[in-house]
Amino acid sequence: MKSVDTPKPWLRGVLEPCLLALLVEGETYGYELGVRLEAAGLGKVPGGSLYPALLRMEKQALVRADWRAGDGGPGRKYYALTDAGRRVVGEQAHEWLVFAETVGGVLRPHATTPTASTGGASS
Amino acid sequence: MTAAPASATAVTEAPRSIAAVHAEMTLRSLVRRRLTVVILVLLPLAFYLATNDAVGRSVRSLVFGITWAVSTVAFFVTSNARDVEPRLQVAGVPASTLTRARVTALAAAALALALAFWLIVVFDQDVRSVGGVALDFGVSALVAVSLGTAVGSLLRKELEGTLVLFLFAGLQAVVNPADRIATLLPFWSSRELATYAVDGPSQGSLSNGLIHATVIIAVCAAISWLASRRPATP
Amino acid sequence: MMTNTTWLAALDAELSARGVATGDRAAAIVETESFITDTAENAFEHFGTPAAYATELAAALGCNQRPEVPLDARVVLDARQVDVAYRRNEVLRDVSVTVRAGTLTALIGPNGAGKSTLLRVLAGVQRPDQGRVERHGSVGYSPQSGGLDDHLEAEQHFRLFGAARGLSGSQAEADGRRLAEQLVWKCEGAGIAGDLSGGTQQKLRVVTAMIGEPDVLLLDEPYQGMDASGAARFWDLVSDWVERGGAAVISSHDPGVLSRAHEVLELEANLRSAA
Repeated sequence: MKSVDTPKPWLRGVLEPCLLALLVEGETYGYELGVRLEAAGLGKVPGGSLYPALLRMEKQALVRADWRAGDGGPGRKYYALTDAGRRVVGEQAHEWLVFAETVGGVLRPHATTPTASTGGASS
Repeated sequence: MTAAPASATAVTEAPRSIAAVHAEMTLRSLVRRRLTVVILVLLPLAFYLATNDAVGRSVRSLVFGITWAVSTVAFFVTSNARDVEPRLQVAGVPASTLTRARVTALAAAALALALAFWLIVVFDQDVRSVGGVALDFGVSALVAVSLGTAVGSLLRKELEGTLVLFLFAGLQAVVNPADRIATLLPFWSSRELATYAVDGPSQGSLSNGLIHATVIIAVCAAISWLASRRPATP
Repeated sequence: MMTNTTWLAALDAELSARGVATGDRAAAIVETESFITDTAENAFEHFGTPAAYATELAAALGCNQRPEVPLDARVVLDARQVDVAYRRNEVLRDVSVTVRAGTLTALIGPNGAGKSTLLRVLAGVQRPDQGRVERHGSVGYSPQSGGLDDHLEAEQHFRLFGAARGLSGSQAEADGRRLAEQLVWKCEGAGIAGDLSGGTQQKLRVVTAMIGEPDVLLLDEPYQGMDASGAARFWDLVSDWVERGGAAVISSHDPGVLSRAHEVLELEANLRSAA
């Protein structure tokens, strides 16, 4: 099943905790993180959102970057969690779940199943 | 002790004055306009060759060609200077220094051209007064530089300036030089001095020619000076 | 659509214009490039316009804070209550600006707002109808167009403008070549100015304004038409200039200039015509 792209304003909020969570499993580079986010069902995360998020976390010292020579291509920047990052993952995950629960409480009574697109072309 | 290797001797070159460099660049820019240079030389030459059979006519035609060609080139150089000179003024060079340098360069080029044509006449024709022809060509070249510069400082569009100079040249060709009205034309002196050189003092007046040329140069200088004080428009 | 190479070059210029340091810039470029290589897609699809992405990155790097004006710095240019009208059309009304050594002033506003007119007034090429301009030091001015002799070569321009500042011919040529190289322009044997492309003429205007290191640079849309790498180096050159204590006033309608400016002067379009 094709995953639906996460709307941009929501992505902004969840991207950083998700990236931190993925990095718990070990260091990796930006493109690989994008692939794993898509595999997890978040849809295609454009590089234009991905890298600024990584950069912001690098600035906040939640992740640390390390340059490696790429195979033939340009160099790759590998990201790894710092100790501070490791501490923050848990907190952020908790905060997000509480928040999602609250939002869910507000929205659940009004939710409808999206109608499937018929695909009929209207002129 | 060993002598310093030649390559290590740094020659510190003394800076040249902006007037000298501006004059040099004015000439370089002029020479770089190949077509302009060709016209500058060919136009008077064509006038001369077309009337080569009679001494008087050929000298008068030649000086007519010189004044027309030189004034047009002076106009273009003045017009061209409007790009660079304001920026050099911003850099601290007085406008008068720049104008003097540019006009001096133009006058030198015009006199060189006059000299070359004078040599042609001297070798090709049997004129009454060789010195008179030299004076005529030299004075006419200077009047043409002043007129072209004045028109260039007044008119911004190249077509307008060229037409005004064409008007002066055209009137000069059609108005009877004996008419009083002819003395109002800027190049009246060049014809008067040509007649003096070819036909002698009985026909043309040396002093009238020189006075007329002096007045025209003074009027043109005043116009150029006043125009340079006018505030800029977009 | 832009090729990825052009896109990356444009990104470099945009980052540079937003004051992103050389190291961070290089890192961002290489990382973006490697991402594009991995996805084998067009850069535009993933990152949008170079300008928008550069703004994102600059924000993430914290580069958007405007530098502070050193208030103790020497005033090199001071314009008070300048009015200019063309016929009955008011272009500038009551404009004042103070320029200090070691600062960059950005002059922004839409077309027709009077940016070029104000720069001409500051340079002294044009007299204002009202108000006064005081210059405490030497000025280098690069107009938006013109300002060059179409029939002279680059080196001849260097010698001419150098002579105006008292430099020898060889010194002026050396300075001009060095500045041209910094704008990624190899000016030797480039021919006469009239044959140069618009962007290269712009470089020549900037170089001739900078020769001899005047106290204030007045640049009208200086990087318009320049290639992306030239524009990036242009901003490096300006940063360096300002750091060394030079002052600059640069007009632009590119918002990128804002992040590096100490002062921003915004001119409004369409003042009422004095009917």
